[in-house]
Amino acid sequence: MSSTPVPAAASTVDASPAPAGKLSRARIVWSIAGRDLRSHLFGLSLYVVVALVLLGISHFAVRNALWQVDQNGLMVLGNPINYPFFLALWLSAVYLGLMAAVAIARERDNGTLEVLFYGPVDSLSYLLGKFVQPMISFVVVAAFYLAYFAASAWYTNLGFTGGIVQLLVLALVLTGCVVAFGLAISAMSRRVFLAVIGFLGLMLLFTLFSVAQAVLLAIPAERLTDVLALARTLVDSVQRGLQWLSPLAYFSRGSAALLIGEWQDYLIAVGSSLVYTAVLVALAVFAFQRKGVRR
Amino acid sequence: MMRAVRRDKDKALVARGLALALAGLAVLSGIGAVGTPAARAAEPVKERQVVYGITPWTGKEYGGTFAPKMVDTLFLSAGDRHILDVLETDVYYWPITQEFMADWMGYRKEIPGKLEVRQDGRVVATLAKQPYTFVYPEGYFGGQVQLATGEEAKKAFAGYQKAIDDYYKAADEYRKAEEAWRAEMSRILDQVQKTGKPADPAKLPKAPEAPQPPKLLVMQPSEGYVIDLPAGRYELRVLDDKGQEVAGTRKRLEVFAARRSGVGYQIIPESKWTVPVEAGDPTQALYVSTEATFYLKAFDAREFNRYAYSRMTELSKPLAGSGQQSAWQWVLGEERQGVKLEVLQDGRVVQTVEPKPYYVQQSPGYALGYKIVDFDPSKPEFEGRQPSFVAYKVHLKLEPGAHFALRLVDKDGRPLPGSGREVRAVRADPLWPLYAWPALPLVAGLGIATWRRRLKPRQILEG
Repeated sequence: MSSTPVPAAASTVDASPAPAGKLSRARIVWSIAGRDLRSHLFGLSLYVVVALVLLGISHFAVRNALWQVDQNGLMVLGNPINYPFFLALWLSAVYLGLMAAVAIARERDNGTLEVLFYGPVDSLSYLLGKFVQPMISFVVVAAFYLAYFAASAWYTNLGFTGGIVQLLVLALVLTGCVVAFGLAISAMSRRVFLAVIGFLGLMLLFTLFSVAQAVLLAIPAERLTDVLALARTLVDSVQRGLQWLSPLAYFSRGSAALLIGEWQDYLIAVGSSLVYTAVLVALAVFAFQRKGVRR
Repeated sequence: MMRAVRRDKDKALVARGLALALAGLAVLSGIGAVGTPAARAAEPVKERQVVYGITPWTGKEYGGTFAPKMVDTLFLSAGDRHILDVLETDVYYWPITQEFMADWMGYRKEIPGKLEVRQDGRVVATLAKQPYTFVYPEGYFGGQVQLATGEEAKKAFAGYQKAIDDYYKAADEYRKAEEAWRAEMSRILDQVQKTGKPADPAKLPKAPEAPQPPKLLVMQPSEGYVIDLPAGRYELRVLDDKGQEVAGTRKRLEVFAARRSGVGYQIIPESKWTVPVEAGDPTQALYVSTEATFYLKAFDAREFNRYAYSRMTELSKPLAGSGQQSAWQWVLGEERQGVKLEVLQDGRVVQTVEPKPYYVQQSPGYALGYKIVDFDPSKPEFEGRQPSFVAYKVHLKLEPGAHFALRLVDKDGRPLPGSGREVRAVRADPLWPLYAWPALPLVAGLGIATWRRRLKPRQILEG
């Protein structure tokens, strides 16, 4: 328990004076997002993560594709830059989601959240602020990625995808989904390590099942044993169960629709991602109100 | 449509999952490993069942599978003609290949009647059995097959029989003519030997030419239900001559459509002619390192759901398509004929290629190796031989970073939709830029952090 006297108002969220109108709330959201954004963009961690992701992509994906072509003399590939690009976006979305997952739990854990709510801040404006900041950070990250992949595609002649604008829109809503997921986890957790374990555990689960499905589907029928067939059936069933839970599934649906030019499916993927984000932000607000601002 | 497929699959999934789980446990516990082939191949238990015999058009040929009693849903591709038949036979499970088998030779009884096709409770078709046959214009291994039905089937088979009869007659006449020619040649030879005078070449009889057997092959017509439906969910059942449903004939039918269609290529690299690469997806590109020589064969291509397609072609295998509901595959169909290949650079046509026959010549001696040469039947080394393949030969000299494109055009020069493919020469040397660029965000970050540090004291002083 804190030894400092706490007014009754601070013991429950939203008991503080409500923001005066939309402009006031927008200003509060921007103020919270701006404060976090400054510390994020003026720090080094974001740039280190982006650099490491790109270095990994260069070494393991782009170089590997070039090596394969060199070894085989001729290869038929779907755009080899697309998958690394998607991987980079996914990794950065997870990183930003993790930052969001840590944010609330850490501030609650440090006791700074309680102080914040003595001002004209309510749970919605606070969470929206926490949501907006990673989204703006993503724009910065995406700019770096775009520059790197365009340069790599041009230099190696591996080519880059068409419909880059649509893909970036998809990546933005994917990040929204992951950040909202992180916020919901964070709002439910009283401790930072619980938020981190919960968020990373679920993201790892989504990723593993997605990768496992791709690997199992690549096995030719003549090499499919009973056990592999069972594994493939189970993984496919789980994947279909996760298709409305995993942000990765939303992105996969959207990128598949983009690939085959199914605009209706693409718009459905974007729309459903936005709904998913809104639901999770609402869940985060609800959980935040239930948990309160105290440690 | 796919949702319907999934719904149907979900029901079967539980049962199949349990079966697979047991099989998996058996394998894991070593039961499968210790069973000797002789023990596994013991006489199977047969059960007399009403089954659907299915001859589906796979896109390239007519396959063969059947739906035993426990399979309640058939799968067929939309817009294609397939053959169904309903029979009674003995069915058993063959664990070695993990499939149900039908003992057609042991017991086979046709179920007479009409096939009723219903959709949403409405009858959409009532089909009677009709004769059908498969016509192979270039022979069984010629790569083409056509379905002939009704009177056309009978005519095709009669035509084939006539062609065979004509060939035998011609062969008989040839044999007689050759005997006569040999006799005449013997007589001339005897005369030359007796007189010592050489014979006048102009007066020598011409050797008769052996007739060529017909390439055409037509199978003996059979009877079945020829079915061609648009995509959707249907119900099937056989009605007897009184209009009553025949027990055991009610099945569901999923007719699935292709998601995309276009032109697919089989690419034969000169360096690995035995390992051709398939490129069905028009979004795929050909990546080459430097100079490239390869041979292309063009086919109709369609993209199907992998689960539905596997169920269509291998319905008697319970594991067919398992876990593949969310996967898609390109299926190369019939070869495209009468089209040319264009090679473009920067949008300009730099090469137009016609398909030609090629022959793979093995290197003489013990050393492994081969070379692909033009097949010229007039040359003596190709006498009595057939070309290894017929394809479009593409030879490109590529600078790193070069960008070409391929496409097919019809006889009027119009590009065929979905036939375009990019050819890209990759640049893999030097690789240092790929490692330098990722450092740029770090440099930017350090720059911003340094600028921020310098800014702070000044702000404090100003404050």
